[in-house]
Amino acid sequence: MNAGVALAEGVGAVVDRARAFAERERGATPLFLQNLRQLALEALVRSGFPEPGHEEWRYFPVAEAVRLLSGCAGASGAANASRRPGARAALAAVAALGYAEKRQHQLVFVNGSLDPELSTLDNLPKGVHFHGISRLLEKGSPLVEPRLGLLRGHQRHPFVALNTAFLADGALLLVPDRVVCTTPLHVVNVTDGTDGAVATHPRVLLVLGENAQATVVETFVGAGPAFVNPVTEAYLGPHAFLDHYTLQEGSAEAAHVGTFDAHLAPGGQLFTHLFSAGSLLARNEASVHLHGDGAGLTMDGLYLGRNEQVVDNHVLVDHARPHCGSQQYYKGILDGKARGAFDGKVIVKPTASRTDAHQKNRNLLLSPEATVDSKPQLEIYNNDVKATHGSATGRLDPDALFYLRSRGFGETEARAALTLAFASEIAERIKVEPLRKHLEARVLAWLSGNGRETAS
Amino acid sequence: MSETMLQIEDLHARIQEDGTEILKGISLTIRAGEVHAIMGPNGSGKSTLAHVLSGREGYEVTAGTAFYKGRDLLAMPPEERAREGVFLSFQYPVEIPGVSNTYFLRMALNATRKHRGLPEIDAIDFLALVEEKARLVDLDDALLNRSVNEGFSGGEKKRNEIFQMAVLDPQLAILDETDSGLDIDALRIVAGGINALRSPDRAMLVITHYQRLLNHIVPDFVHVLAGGRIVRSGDRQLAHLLEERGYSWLDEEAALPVGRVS
Repeated sequence: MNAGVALAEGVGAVVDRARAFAERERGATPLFLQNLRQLALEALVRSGFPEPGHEEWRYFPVAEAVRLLSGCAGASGAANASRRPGARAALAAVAALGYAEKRQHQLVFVNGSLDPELSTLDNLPKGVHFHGISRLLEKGSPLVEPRLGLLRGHQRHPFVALNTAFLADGALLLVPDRVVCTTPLHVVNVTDGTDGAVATHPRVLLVLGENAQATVVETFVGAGPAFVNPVTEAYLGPHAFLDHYTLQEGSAEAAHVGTFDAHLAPGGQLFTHLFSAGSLLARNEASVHLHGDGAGLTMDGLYLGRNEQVVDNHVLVDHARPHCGSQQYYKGILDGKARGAFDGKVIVKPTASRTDAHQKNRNLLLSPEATVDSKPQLEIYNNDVKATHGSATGRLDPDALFYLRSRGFGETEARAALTLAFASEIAERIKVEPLRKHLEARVLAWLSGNGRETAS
Repeated sequence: MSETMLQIEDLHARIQEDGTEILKGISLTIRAGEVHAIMGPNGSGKSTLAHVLSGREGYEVTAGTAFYKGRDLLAMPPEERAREGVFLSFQYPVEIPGVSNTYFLRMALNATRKHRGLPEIDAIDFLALVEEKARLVDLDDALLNRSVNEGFSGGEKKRNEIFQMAVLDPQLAILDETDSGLDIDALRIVAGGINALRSPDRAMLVITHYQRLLNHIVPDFVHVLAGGRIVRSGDRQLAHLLEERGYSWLDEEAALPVGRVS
């Protein structure tokens, strides 16, 4: 079956499923969401999945991912991790983050549905809303409707459309003006495909008011075959500050197609940190729209690939207003036959004078068969701009290896020290302490080959 | 007589990549407590000798032997040589971004201790040791917490080498062009550190192009390397002779066929 046929059949099957889903859920769904699902489905039917050679998808095997999706059923069975050994094993891989002990504010979703046993929301700062979307909808809460889908990603992006067509649950965070959340808020997605391949479409909606501040950690873990298709929308009000972390440690049998979409008002400050080590096929896409004067953006990425993994990082930064700054620093470590990509585009629109934009991508290849495509791009339509981009790909420095060995480091230790040093530049900018420690341990375990291949 | 630290016999080595023979039969014996200087013009094989003795890749030993305290040095991987007490001070110390100087040194020290059946060093003892040895070469505390050699000046890098040597306490130190790139002050500090580490238990092999380092570190023996062979050996007076007359007068001698006595 060639890729085109697979894609067409994939769309057909998925669209039929989405129609049946919409029909089944109609009674329990508010009208605005029914309409949104319908619009998204129509957009997906129009666009189909990206064909091979599509400019924005050239480094991701869409057909292979869609084949995986076609073999997945919608989520069914218990949404309690306590009743799913696969989910418990998946959570054990991130034990350092303390989800089992409910150490922080956390919303845990198992196969797309909220697990009330593992979710804790005690003692949130006054006025802060952090809830499961399905709960809010059940209660007829007015919090969801005004912002959900406002960025219209479902009109542009087939996998955001797919997510929206199946939109049923997820997390909503609303931080009112001038409120600072000092402790991180965690959204945990556990995908357990050990009793049958499963597709999930988790949604996160983050809304920060003027001068509001929050730290959000989105964690993805899983076991068994799965298709995980999360979408996060973030709206930062004037001078709001969001520190956002994505920890992608999906199952080695899973495809992960994640999209992060953010809109910044004047003076808004966004810091994103991506750590991608899991899933057989991973797409980490982020679009940030600097639509207010003086907004600032820093994007860090660290991606690891081994065996036959594919990890495709796709970034779009849209400078639309004056005096905004953006910097990206993505680093990749690839071993085995892994394929990595960094495809980052910064667009500086004619209206964006005094822009300061920087892109940097560095890759470390640990095996002769690992490959990477690095494509930092600047598209500048304004003359009053400071912009740089750079890319470098290499192997471990033999001189540094010898230097370490000549001081008594064993060869394996020396390689590990240098690889960890390469990763540490990104890791040390993580402000959530347990997450940073987890990450450093994870890189070391990954290096010594003890990285989790499957969670079960 | 004190213990033989290093015994090199008829050592031949070539560059692996293109087969160029660099060392053409070197013999040298160094005992505990002795400082030997190897001098020679560029391209004479000085650095190759240091590389071969420390186990750097890219060279092939085609004949001869090198024994360290009676053990076959050339059969050991570089890390084992280090753990056994051989230290190479690099001509060009490598910058290692992301690895802090103290972490690096603690790992190195503990690797050696483990090899000798000792427990890992206590954190407080380590700190005290580091402070004491840093003073020896006047190394700024701030450099200890920076990444290894990253952004260090030439002099700071060389001081860092001698500082590492002081912490690791080797029995055989090979100092490869430790004076290169140093101004007068830095040279005095580095040489002072090296002199402080001279001891009856330790042997040193000081490799240098110029005699000026030997004004500070007075060697027991001086050997002249030319064309991959030791063409002259003597005491420190030989170094002065070289300073006065340069290396050119040796060329004719080096060119003489070896082994023919007329």
